[in-house]
Amino acid sequence: MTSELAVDDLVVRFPLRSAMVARLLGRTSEVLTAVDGLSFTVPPGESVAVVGESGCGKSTLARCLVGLQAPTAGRIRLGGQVLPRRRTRGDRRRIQMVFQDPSSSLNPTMTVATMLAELLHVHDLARGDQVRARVAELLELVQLPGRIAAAYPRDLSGGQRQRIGIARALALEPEVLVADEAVAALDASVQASVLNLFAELRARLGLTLIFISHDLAAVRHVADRVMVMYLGAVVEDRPAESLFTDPQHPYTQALLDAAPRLDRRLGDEPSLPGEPPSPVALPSGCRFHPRCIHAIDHCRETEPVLTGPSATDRTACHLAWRDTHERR
Amino acid sequence: MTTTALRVHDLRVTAASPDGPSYPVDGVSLHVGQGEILGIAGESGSGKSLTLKAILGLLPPGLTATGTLQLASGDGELAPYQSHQVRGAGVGMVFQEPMTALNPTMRAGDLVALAARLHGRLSRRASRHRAVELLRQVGVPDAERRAKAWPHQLSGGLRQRVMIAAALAAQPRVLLCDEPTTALDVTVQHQILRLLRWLADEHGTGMIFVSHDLPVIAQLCDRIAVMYAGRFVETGYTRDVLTHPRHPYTAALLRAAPSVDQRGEQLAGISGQPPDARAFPAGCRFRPRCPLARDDCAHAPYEIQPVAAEHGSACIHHADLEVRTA
Ligand SMILES: Nc1ncnc2c1ncn2[C@@H]1O[C@H](COP(=O)(O)OP(=O)(O)OP(=O)(O)O)[C@@H](O)[C@H]1O
Ligand SMILES: Nc1ncnc2c1ncn2[C@@H]1O[C@H](COP(=O)(O)OP(=O)(O)OP(=O)(O)O)[C@@H](O)[C@H]1O
Ligand SMILES: [Mg+2]
Ligand SMILES: [Mg+2]
Repeated sequence: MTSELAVDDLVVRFPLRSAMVARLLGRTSEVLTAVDGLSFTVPPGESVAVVGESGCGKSTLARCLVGLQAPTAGRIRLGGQVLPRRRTRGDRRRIQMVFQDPSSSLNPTMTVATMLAELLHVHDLARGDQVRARVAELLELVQLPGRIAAAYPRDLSGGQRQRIGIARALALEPEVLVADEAVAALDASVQASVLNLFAELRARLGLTLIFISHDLAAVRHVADRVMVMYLGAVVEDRPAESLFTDPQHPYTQALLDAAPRLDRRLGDEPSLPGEPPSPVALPSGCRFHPRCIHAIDHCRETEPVLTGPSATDRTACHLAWRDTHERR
Repeated sequence: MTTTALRVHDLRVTAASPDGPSYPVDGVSLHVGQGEILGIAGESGSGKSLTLKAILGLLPPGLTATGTLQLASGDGELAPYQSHQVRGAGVGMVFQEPMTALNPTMRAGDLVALAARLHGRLSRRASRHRAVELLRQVGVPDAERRAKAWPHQLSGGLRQRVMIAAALAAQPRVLLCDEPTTALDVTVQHQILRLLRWLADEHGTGMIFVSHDLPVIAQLCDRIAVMYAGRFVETGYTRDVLTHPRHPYTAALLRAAPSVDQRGEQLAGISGQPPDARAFPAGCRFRPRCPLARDDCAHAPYEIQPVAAEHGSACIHHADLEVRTA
């Protein structure tokens, strides 16, 4: 049995200069807003994809979920219980993460087998003879040949390291798996088996999946629901099929238009005008308005609320849910 | 006829181990013309990154390379090269994992500026200026401020763009890119792909572009090579290979990829064990997992043979495949 995951008003800010240094230099202390007030709940066993521009705060959200990043404000609950900033071993086991940059999260001085064995031992998940068998099983799950057990991370290819990260997260049989670009370095065939494995774990164990990815094809295949982030905030949160067939936010539309396709030539598709604004000085009103082809005065002045027909079918755009001609 | 910018013949990488040597790259030959982009796709662990590192002489300790490596000089003549002399302005590289490749004690802007200064003999100030300009060109928002950030303060995609900017700073004649856009959202990715295409078309930069993303390769690359178990198994013009694959592994890759335009059922992985460089099977190395395998595959040469104009395949039964996919 797994539990509902809830995020309430999560905010993460990074000071770019310490307040003291700023005062000494006679400058204002600048703050970068990486996550700007996220609220959502994920029912047990659901698979939610998080997509959005690079640098919009996806990994920061992920690090908050697993307790590696202390939020500036807000809280995270699992099964109604607030997770403390300092997680217990038990809490950590319940939410596991596959990291975007696998090599910086693997201990370079341990072989793959030692690392997995130690993990199983610390969490008391296997003993004695079982350990070896379980390690072999985990490697097989992620389609790695057995000899990888004796290898050090530096002797592995990028995709092999990424799969060790997946095996490590799955070893703890978590209730929630946060996968940050977990299949980006895998060839289509291995990616297919890993995605099928996720689907099977969801069906069999009720695993909740938070799937962060730039690969919209993988997202469409994996997700029940998609959250689109822009500059630290969710701008669209919809059931996957509605989002892909009838996107409401212009940023989502731009993403879908730019997705590479086998039969497309480079340059056919329209790209988003302008560059993303600085997360240090967020724009007034709607955070997307400087790049939006539909923007009207109202958008420059008033920030749109994330709203829609239901709590899992919402968009933050003044012009959403209207006829397309009205939007023009 | 384009002039060849880089030629690699029979490249082999040997990994020594107590149980004897293995060959993670086992006879790779390729050429890249000026202004041409060669895509390499293929199995994870098949030797793509080691191939690029060997070309630049950057193999990790314990691994050695043999084979012929040639680079075009200013007058277009191909000649063998010393890798330490061509790094940067001759051949540049964008590595697969930016966090491990970026120096954690250098600010993003200084890293790019250093590359610009080494190459262009620019002053400190001019190089810093150039660095910000390059960061902007690769789509880093707020480039001036970002130039002052440390690598750990940057998101995955920002790091990746810093790496690309640093490689471009030296204006290399040949650019090797290892999964350069995996951490980028599709709109920034599109901007980078256009920049790379422009460098190839306008500056004649030759490129090798390693990626698992077949639609990206389809958009960017003139030719493609598909790699499996240490060797190329199929080569040709991108469009030919991706629309009429002549190797069962290429066909399987295409079947396995999900589509952004429709939600499919279960994805089709390839069953069976992935190959192990310490014990590649005899004959065709894809044989144990191949749906078309027959007895004679155990004695197949596992080498690219021409199957059509400018199209090569290592499958001795490639003709069957054509019937199947038609
Ligand atoms: N320790 C830090 N100090 C300062 N800024 C930081 C720090 N960590 C992250 N940031 C900034 O916070 C923002 C969000 O970063 P995050 O890594 O969450 O982005 P992301 O959505 O995962 O992007 P990508 O798709 O590129 O991985 C970025 O602008 C990043 O530079
Ligand atoms: N330093 C090393 N020592 C021994 N073997 C190595 C070393 N580095 C890589 N290998 C092995 O060589 C093979 C090829 O590695 P390489 O990194 O070139 O793969 P790749 O094709 O780039 O894969 P990916 O798509 O996963 O990045 C892998 O099986 C890997 O385990
Ligand atoms: Mg990230
Ligand atoms: Mg690689």
